[in-house]
This record gives sequence, C-alpha cells and structure tokens, in this order.
Amino acid sequence: MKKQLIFILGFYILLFLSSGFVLLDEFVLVQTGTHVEIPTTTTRTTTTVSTTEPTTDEFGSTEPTTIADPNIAYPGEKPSILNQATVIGSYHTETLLITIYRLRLYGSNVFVADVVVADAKQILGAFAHNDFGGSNVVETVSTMARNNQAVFAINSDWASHYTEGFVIRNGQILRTTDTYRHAVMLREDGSVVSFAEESTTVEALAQDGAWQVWSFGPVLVKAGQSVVDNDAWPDRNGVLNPRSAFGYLAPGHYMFVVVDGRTDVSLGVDVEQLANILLLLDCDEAYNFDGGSSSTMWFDGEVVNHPSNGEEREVGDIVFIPR
Amino acid sequence: MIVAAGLFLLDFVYNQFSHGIGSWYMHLVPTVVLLAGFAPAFVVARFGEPKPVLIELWRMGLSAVVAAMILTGILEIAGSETRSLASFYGVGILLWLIAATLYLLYLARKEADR
Repeated sequence: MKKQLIFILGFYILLFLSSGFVLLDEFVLVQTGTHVEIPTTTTRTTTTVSTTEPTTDEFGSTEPTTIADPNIAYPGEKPSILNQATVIGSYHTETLLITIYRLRLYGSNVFVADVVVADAKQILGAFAHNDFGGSNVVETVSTMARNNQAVFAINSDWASHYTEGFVIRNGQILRTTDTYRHAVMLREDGSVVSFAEESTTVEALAQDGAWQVWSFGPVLVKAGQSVVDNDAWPDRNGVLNPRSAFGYLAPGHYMFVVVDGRTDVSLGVDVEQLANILLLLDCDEAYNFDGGSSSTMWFDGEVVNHPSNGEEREVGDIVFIPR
Repeated sequence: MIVAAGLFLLDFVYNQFSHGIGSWYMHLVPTVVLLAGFAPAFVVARFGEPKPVLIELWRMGLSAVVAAMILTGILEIAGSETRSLASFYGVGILLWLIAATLYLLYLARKEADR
C-alpha cells in the first residue's frame, strides 16, 4: 500500500515537473544554435535622410513631405493609395530608395516602407545575437538593426521559433526540413514567389537563386489576387491583430507593411484586410510575417509604429537594409 | 465534474488574454475529462467495481493526457510548434490501456470463477 502511494505520488510529481520544464524550455530557457555571419555590404557614397514628424496631432498631418531627388529612379507610378498617405521619412543612396508612409485603413494605423533597390542582395536578414536555431535567443528589432548598421528593419518570420520549415538567409541554407506551411522566396534576381514547402526542396530553391526564404505565412497575394481566407486554419488569421507583411511589385521594388493593433486608436486587421492593403499597394505577391506584439518597423534610428505591448517585443530575427 | 468545470474556466480565462486566438485542445479538455470520467463509471456500474489501483492508473492516464492537452493549447496560442509532448500523450494512453486491460482480465477471471 505504501509502495503504491509512493508510486502514485512520484508520478504526479514527475508530471508536474515535466510540465514545468516544457513551459520553461519553450518560453524561458536560452539555448544557443548556430552562429550566422551577416554578409558585409559595400559603403555607398551619396546618402540623404529626411524625416518628418507629425505636425498637429499624432496622425493628423496629411501633407506629404517633399522627397529629396533620389539617385535611383522610382520604377513607374507610385501606388495611388500612397497619395493619401503621410510621408514620415525617406532615405536614398545611388542604389537604394526608401520612403516611409503612414496611412489610415480599416480603423488602423498602417506603416508602409516603399523600397526600391538596385540589387536584391541589399535586402538582408539578421538573427538575434547572430544565432539561428536556438530557443529563446531574442533581441529587439532596434538592437538588431543598430548592430547591423541598418537604415531600415522590420521583424520577419521568427524562424528559430519553429523547429521545421525552410530557412535561407542571405543565400545561406539554414534549415532544410519542410512543413505544411507555404513559404516565400526572394531570388537574387529580385523576383519573388511563394510556394508550398512540401512541393519542393530547399536545395532546389538554392539552385533557383534563393537569396531569402521566409517560412511563416499565410501567403496573402499571389499573381495580383488575394489568396487568403479568414476562416481557414489557423483561427488566428481571422482575428484583428497587429500585422507585418512583405509585398513584391517588380524585381527591385518591394513594400514592407506594419499595421498597429490591439488599441482603441488602431484596431489591427485580419489577414483578408491585410491582403487588401497589399493589393492597394499594387503588390503582385505578398506574404504575412510574424504579427501581434512582434510587429515592429524601424527606420533611421527609431521605431516608427506603436508595438502593441507599449514597448518593443524581443524577437528572433529581422529583415533589414543596411546603410 | 469539478475538474471539468475548472478546466472550462481555465479555457475561458485564457481566451480573455489570448487576443482572440484559441486552441481546440484547450476547448476540448473539459469534454475529455467528462468522457474519461463518466464512461468508465457506466462500465463499472454495469460490470462491477475494479481494484482501487486500476482506478488510480486510469486517473493517472487522464492526468497525463489533460496536462498534454493544456500544454499543447498554450503552445498553440503562443504560436509555437508542440515539442516533447508526444511522451505525455504516450504515457497517458499507455496507462489507460494498462488499466483497461487489467480490468478486462479481472472481469474474465471473475466470469471464469462463476
């Protein structure tokens, strides 16, 4: 009888401790992974930064700021929705043009980085502490951006948060295991395509010129059409939340979007609304990044949006553009 | 019943802070507790009371499955993949199978003794 009691008690103590360990392992304990070097970039000579602070109230200004003449030509007409937006900053070199806009859509504050690059390899990825594949290795977008001499950065897919899913960063294959998810690939030639991971291999993507492969999703826009459904699994897609996304217009021309949420001022959007925003920005392909309190856009030394926690959340990785 | 009600409350409270994101594992935990509690009660009422150790084995299995489902729900809501929980489900189901098998053997022996 006493043995039975000890066995039963031992089982429940073990179950309690195991449950605690699972939670600690997932949310607290730091385990490092692989050190990842970020490619160095060439220094550019011509640089102009102009930022405009909101004038009357936080989001009252609708008068666009004049953008200094860039050294790289803007491809075609800018999306008409941006004529209603407020320019809150811009930066250009002879190979890079970034304009940061703020606009109101769906009861939310939407921040758009309109990015034109001469070479897709100017779009880089970085990990917290340059570590991939560990757990709970995190830094703020600001810290990672500063450490990598970025002018622009946004949170990306938090690749280390998952144990599976293709990951290619800066041309380097980091994870080869596929998942049920759809991923998106930025090729070295500047083109972008999304695909079901189960339909290919990471080696085939590398052969195809993959420069970045992000695995989060869902795919928002494909061939100029919205392809998301709020009712599709997982149910987080249909909830109003802060969101981050990446959009593609043409080789060398991209949109990075952050939507603030979870406040009375900015409600946030579901994935269908997010896809519509990317369509308004004339995107041919668009992909959802990690959202919620992770959604952070950083430009020229400052966070431009309002992360829903009231302060920056520490995340696993960023997409950034170096100065 | 009390445990199921407590788990229902846990799911409800958790949902208030999960920004509208839910997990079917969390939603279904109270139902699993009710089913795993009532179904054997009907069997026992029909065929006879098992030894206390078998009841305890069944409860231990249920505890492991419930812990696994709650943890799966928490990780799902956090946007994580569920890791290292297969052993929880495995242990729970194994304990259920052992308890059920021993109960069936007990019934068979009881029938043979008649």
